[in-house]
Amino acid sequence: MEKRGVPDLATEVEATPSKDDGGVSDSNRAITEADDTDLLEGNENQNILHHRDLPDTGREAEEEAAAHGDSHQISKATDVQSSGQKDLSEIDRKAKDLSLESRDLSVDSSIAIGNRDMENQSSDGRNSLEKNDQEKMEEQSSDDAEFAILDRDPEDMKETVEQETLDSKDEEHSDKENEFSIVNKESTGASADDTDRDLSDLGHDRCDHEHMNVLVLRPVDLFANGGNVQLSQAFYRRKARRIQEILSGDPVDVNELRQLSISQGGLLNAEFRQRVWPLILNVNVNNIAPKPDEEVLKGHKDYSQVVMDVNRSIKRFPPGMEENHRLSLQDKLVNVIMRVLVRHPELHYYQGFHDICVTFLLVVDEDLAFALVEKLSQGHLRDFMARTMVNTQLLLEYVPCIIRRANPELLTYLEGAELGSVFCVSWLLTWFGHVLNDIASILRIFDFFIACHPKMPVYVMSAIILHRKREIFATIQEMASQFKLLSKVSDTLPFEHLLSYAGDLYLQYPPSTLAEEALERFTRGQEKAAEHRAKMVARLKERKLPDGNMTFTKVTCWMLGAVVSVAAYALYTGMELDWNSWIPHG
Amino acid sequence: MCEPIFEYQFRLILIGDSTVGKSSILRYFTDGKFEDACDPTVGVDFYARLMEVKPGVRVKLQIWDTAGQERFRSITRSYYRNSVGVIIVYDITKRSTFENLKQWYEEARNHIEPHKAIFLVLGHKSDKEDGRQVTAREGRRFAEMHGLKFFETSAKTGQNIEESFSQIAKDTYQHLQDGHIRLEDGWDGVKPGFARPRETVHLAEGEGESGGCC
Repeated sequence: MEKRGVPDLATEVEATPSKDDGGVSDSNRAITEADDTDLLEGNENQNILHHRDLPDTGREAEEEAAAHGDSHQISKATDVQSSGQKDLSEIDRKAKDLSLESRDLSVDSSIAIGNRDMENQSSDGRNSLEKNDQEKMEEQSSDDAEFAILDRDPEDMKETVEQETLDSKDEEHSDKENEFSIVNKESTGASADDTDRDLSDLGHDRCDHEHMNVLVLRPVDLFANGGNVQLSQAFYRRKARRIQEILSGDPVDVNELRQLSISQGGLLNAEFRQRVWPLILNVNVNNIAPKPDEEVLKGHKDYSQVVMDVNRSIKRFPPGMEENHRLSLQDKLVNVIMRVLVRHPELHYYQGFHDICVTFLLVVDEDLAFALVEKLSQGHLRDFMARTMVNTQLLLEYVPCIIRRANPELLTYLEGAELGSVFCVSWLLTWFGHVLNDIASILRIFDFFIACHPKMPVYVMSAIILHRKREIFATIQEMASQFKLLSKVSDTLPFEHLLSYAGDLYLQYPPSTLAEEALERFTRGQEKAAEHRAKMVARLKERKLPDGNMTFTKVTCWMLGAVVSVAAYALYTGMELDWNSWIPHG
Repeated sequence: MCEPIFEYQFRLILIGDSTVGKSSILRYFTDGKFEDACDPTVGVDFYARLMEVKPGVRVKLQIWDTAGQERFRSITRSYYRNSVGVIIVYDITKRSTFENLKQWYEEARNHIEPHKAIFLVLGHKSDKEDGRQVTAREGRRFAEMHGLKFFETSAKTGQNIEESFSQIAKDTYQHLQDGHIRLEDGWDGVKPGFARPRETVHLAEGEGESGGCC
């Protein structure tokens, strides 16, 4: 049960330190389970991992059984992939044949097909899957049209999703697709009756939440969309109800919250984020380290750098915000950053850290923002805050490893352009806060990252690059052109889909399977740089040599000249050179 | 859209301490815009613009903007190799940024192809005369000592921005004409423009005056 088919847990444990041991094991278990399952909301893989829903219905036995099925299934999936890229390229070919319409949707169809292929190759896993679905169907007593889709044969569902994928020309997910994934999630807990009651309890639509938000006005509410992702009302209400339910549980089921944070729509709004983020990150809101004296903060070596960066990060605040309000928030932002740095001398400030901190500060108050960021900086962000950027550079090398596995031709093309990985360093260091403009998308991505494995950002980065393969192939194979194309991340990308795709990639190629290759790539890069540097130093020396000789010659000439002049003068004046007279007597 | 025609493509890199105004210079140069607050650069950004080096001869300047914070140097270093020109920027209202000039110059010289590099020193924010901590004479003296060209610039008033880039473009072009710099395979500091038949495909990619981040 502990291992759950994802081999990189050991690193995970280290990466998420927490105060008490219970917390450690708890949160790690949560991460594992989350990793295994709900990443896949919104596409077929959800089916593979349906068992996750079972514990909620209280079926302990099934949970055990399903857990085995799960790890088996995942390892199968990995085997299928690692047995060669053949399968994937095959999938890609099929996808190309099928998706004639929109380039951006080819990825969707390839996933759908890919999953089917994997399932077909693992018939026993498939059986357990169908069994799970069967049980699910028995539970369904809903006549809700949205639920009906679940009652259909899984094979049919696949067709539907594929069809939808192909039919929709829009980049955004169709509502139907959204509903499909909601159904999977929603059906886990409340029955249909409950759901109906929930809806009436909740009020009528999300305006309800907007009201709640108005009570405690947060900076994020000043954005046009209030930081809320566009979702269908029915979905929003249902998910909000679910989160509310879990939050009022005693004890609160943090694992479930974590999954909701990962699954479609994330935590929906600022109010939930404020309550759920601390729970997921195991932050005790009643025990936040007090702010040290202003002088202590100002005395830190990075203080002036932080102030400079915060002062010019105006872009991250709501456009309509009053200047005074913004200035006071910027002061708070400096405080948040400095409090982390002062409390943790082992952590180093990097340009981009402020982009992470400001995202939190838009949603929660200074104290909580500090506590959340402090926790993250010891886990998820630790590599970025090391003394040097070596760990960050190493992490960046995971991206080509993932792309090579998912689409070898694409990596060959990018490597041919000598693109490198610097173009996406800001994505990683700021969790997309620096490159995206839409706060709703940023917050949604934060929900996802907070609840996932610390290396998840490299999977999302890879998913974005893989998603844009058509554009990449259509652009000249040259570094600057590719850099220009890829370094900007459009706010209109289908992020829900990309996060789910990143989850797929994570399951197919877990970090442990990439570590060796990433290190090798990194080392190769370093060696190449060292080689170049040695060459440059040698050339510099070559150039300096004549200069040095010239100086030597000049100095020698001058000295000789001086000696000769003195001698000539002495001869001319008939001066007696009595060296003894130079020594003071007495 | 009319396809831009350029004879060569020069790759330049902008370096200097954090907050001296590197990105502002490039934003003004490529977009003609100035903002009081310019987001810190995280990693490396890319800008491009066409420029006339002599009547009828245009070149494409491809300019890499780098993060000023020291820890990013390990990342930005890889951008020196394929650059033909380096622009080092300091802030005339902040003495320490001037004092670090030498360090930046050494850093660039150690990583760039030495016989090819063309350097330019910019004392930036010249509009802030009140806060000046470095005189123009000091800046010029540093540049002359190392045999570099020097300008005082302002992205707010636009002072000398155009001239600076024009200077480095013309110098590079001249070096190319004189044979001090040659086109080489495997080195992207200078690349031929559209005129070479093999590079016709460049047309698709160069789309003119703008580029850059944000």
